Amino acid sequence: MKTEQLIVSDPRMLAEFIGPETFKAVFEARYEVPPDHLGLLMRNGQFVEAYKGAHFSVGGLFNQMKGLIGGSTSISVLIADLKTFQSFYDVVATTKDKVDVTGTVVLDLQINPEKPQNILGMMQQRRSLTKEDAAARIRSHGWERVFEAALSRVNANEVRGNKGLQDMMQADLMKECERIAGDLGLMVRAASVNFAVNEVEKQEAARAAAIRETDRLEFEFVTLKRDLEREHETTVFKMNNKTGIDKLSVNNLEDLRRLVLDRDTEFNDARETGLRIAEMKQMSHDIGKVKAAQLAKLEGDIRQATHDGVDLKVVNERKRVIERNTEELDRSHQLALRALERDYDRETRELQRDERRDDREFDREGRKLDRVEQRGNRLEDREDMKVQRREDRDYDHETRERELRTREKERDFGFDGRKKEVDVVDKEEYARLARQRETDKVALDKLKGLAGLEAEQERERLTRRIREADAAHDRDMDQRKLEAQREADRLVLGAKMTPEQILAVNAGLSPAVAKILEEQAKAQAIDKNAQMDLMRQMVEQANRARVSSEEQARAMFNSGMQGAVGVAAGAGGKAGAGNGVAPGEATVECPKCTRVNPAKAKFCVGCGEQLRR
Amino acid sequence: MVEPVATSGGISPCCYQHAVTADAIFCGECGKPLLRCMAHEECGGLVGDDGCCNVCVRPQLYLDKDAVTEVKTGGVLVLPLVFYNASGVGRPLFITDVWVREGEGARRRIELPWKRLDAGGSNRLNVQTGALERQGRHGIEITFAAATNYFMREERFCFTSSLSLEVEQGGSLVINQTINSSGIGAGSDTVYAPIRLETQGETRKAAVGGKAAELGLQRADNFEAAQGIRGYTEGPLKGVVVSRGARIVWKGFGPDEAPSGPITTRDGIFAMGRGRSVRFGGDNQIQLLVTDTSGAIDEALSQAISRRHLELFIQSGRLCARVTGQSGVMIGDHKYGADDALAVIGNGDVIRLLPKYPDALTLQVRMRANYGSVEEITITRAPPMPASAVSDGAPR
Repeated sequence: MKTEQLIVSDPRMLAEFIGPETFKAVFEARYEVPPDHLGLLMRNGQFVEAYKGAHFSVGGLFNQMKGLIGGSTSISVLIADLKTFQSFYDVVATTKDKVDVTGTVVLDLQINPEKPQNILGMMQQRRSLTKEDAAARIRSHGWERVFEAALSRVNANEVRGNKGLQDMMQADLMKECERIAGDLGLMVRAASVNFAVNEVEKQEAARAAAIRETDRLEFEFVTLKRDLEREHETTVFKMNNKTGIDKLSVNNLEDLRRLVLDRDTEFNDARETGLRIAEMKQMSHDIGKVKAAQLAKLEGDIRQATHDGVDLKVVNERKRVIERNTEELDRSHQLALRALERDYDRETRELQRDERRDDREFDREGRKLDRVEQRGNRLEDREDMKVQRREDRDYDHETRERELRTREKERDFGFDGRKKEVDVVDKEEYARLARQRETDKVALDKLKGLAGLEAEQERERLTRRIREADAAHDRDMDQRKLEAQREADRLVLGAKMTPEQILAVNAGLSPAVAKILEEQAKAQAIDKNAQMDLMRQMVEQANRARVSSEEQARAMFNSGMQGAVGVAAGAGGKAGAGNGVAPGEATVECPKCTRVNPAKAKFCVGCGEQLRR
Repeated sequence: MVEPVATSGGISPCCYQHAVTADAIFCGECGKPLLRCMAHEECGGLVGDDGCCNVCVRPQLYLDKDAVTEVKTGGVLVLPLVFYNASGVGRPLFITDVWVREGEGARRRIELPWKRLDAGGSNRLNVQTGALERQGRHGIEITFAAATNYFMREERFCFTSSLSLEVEQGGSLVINQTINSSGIGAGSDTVYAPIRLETQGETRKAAVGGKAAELGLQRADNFEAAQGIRGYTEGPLKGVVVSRGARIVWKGFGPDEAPSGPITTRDGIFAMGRGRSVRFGGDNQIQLLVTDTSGAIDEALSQAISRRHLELFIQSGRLCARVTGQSGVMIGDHKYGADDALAVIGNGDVIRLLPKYPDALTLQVRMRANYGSVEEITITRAPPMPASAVSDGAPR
């Protein structure tokens, strides 16, 4: 059996109905739907089956007989092209910087394979649907909502190669398409915009081209300039003149033209020579530089050396002069000193010698006189002469001795005089310094003046305050010591006491009584809590009975206390169950809260109402 | 016989005597309210307006033996301190912070490697001064914060002690100690050991060595308020401390239902809830029921209030609340549940006992502060109970 392919009748068609007349035949016909198409079989106005890449049979005698029996059946097939198709259209949108940008939108559309039957909603008269019509349904909606909206966020020079912009537009377009034709069985596979060159890009391209041209020209200019400079530095022309030297003077342009055009002068390229000349000049320049540098260095060294030499010479010379002067002074001083010593020794020796000579002469004279006396005994007149001579001689000796003594005294007096003069000068200096010191002291005292007096008073006041503070501190320390002593005593006791005893001591009982009460509580209580409750009751009773000694405490237990406590302990009753009133004790009822209080209570322990004054 | 020592809170021995009676609220002798310590079950102690129990909180500070006793100008003094808990009833102390201040300088906080101080136990801490550059008298102030805990409550107090050192150029510092007895810790006979510091012209060793010297302690109440250890730390009541004996005035309740006065319960907790009040054999101090304007009880809403819904107490100089009700409580703008920590109630806070029905039953708190201390707290019930509804006084 021949199989007929069911495809759209025109490539521009997207979907097409094939009516029932196609399938009316006596014999059964086989149809196939290629894989890129979809065949939707509609029977009696309802889609009953979809075919893709399959074949099916319709018609035939059997079906016609069946139709005669059971009634006719209307069959038609919707053929849809499942391939994606492209739609192109131009858009013009305004960018953020108000430049109109033209672009070509490329839309890749496809019938939604999941719900192809919905494409029926896009068909006019349920006949056919062209690809162009399907794309046109989206085009107008996408213009403003997608392209204008996306391009208005970017500048004109930012649209080119902007992948983010393309993605955004594609996503928006898909969203719009889904919104517009999603349930009509059309979907956008891809979308992109190919932008035309806009004005801003043209301007930027022109500017970039101009910059490139400018850079190229600049480079050429720099290259030429460098060549010219190199040429200028290395090229030397040599002029050979055939005429006289006087004709070489050029006064104006005519002279120059004549000089050149008359060929009187030859210009020879002396580049090599010029190069050598330049090298020689450079070398000469270098030599000159080195020479100048060495000369300068030499001069500097010479100057420095001279400077150093002069300095040392001057210093050494001065030193030598000073040393020489010092030596001369020392020497002259030593010489003068030695001369003085020599003079002194000589004078002393002379005096001693004179004295010894005088003594010898005196002895000799004496002996002579003795002899003369021995002889003069004989002669009377010789005796007078002898006496006269002796007197004369004694007189001379005394005179001479007096003279020597006088001379010695005169020498000593000179020395003493000088010493006294020095002493006087020193004393005068000391006296002057003492007077100065005295004057300074007086001036200082004057300066101190009232400030000193005030400082003294302030010091005395501070000293008094320090003494007062010390006394207060001592008093405070004594007080604290006393308090601490009392606290310590309590602590000494407290450290050895049990909580029950502390409870009793805090309540004003003595430690001995507290101990008795605790013993009783321990003996009668059944557990720790009951012991504490019992202890409270006992303390209360003991306080009420003004128990102050061990004997009183024991007596209290031997009398009526034991019963109440025993009952409380046995029953496990709570502390204070009896309102703190012992049995048999006088009571008074509070007029405010009706609580029963001991008669001696001044205030109600329940409400604080004053019971008696 | 050793007379009970009058405590800093002005607690008389007669108060201790009457406090032995468990349900006594006032002292029968002097008529003062009996403010029991939060740990009264253990210590049997009373507190004053400052909230300090002298039985539980009994720290002592010692300068340890072999302390450096000489310092010259430019030298540094290391003070080996010994903290001792002298509580006789086995109550531990927690030393939380230590500060040292030299002269007029700023206080330095010392890192503490330990915290717990069991009764009868001692811990050591070395405190180093800065270089004593100046010749003359140097004051060193040692301040520490001690906390006592009982179940979920905590009271913190600060104590301070000051030393005065005389530093002389080239001289030496000598500590003359007079120890009456010895033995720190172990519950032996620790007694007063005054310390006297004086300068000597020539270098000399301590006259008495090998003994610890006790440093006298004083409560640093001003420092507590400034550091926020006690009292409020923010708001208009910043630096203000609520007195433990602050009078609470209840408004909007019946006159017999909520008598005004300080919190005088045995544990210092003022409980309120749907359960009956103590007057009628219950556990609450105040019974809270939702009523309408005519005084008729709204049973449905009242059922939402737990039997013990809220506990009020004064802790570390602040009015605090612990929520025990299942439905929670709104205090100010925050909702507190049974699992939350303590809530601090400030001036003007509104306590909404039923957060789902915020206006069904509220308590507004007003405080009046005088000279840094709140002596009266007014708690107003809204809506107020009509006089006719509370005149019978019967339990409901």
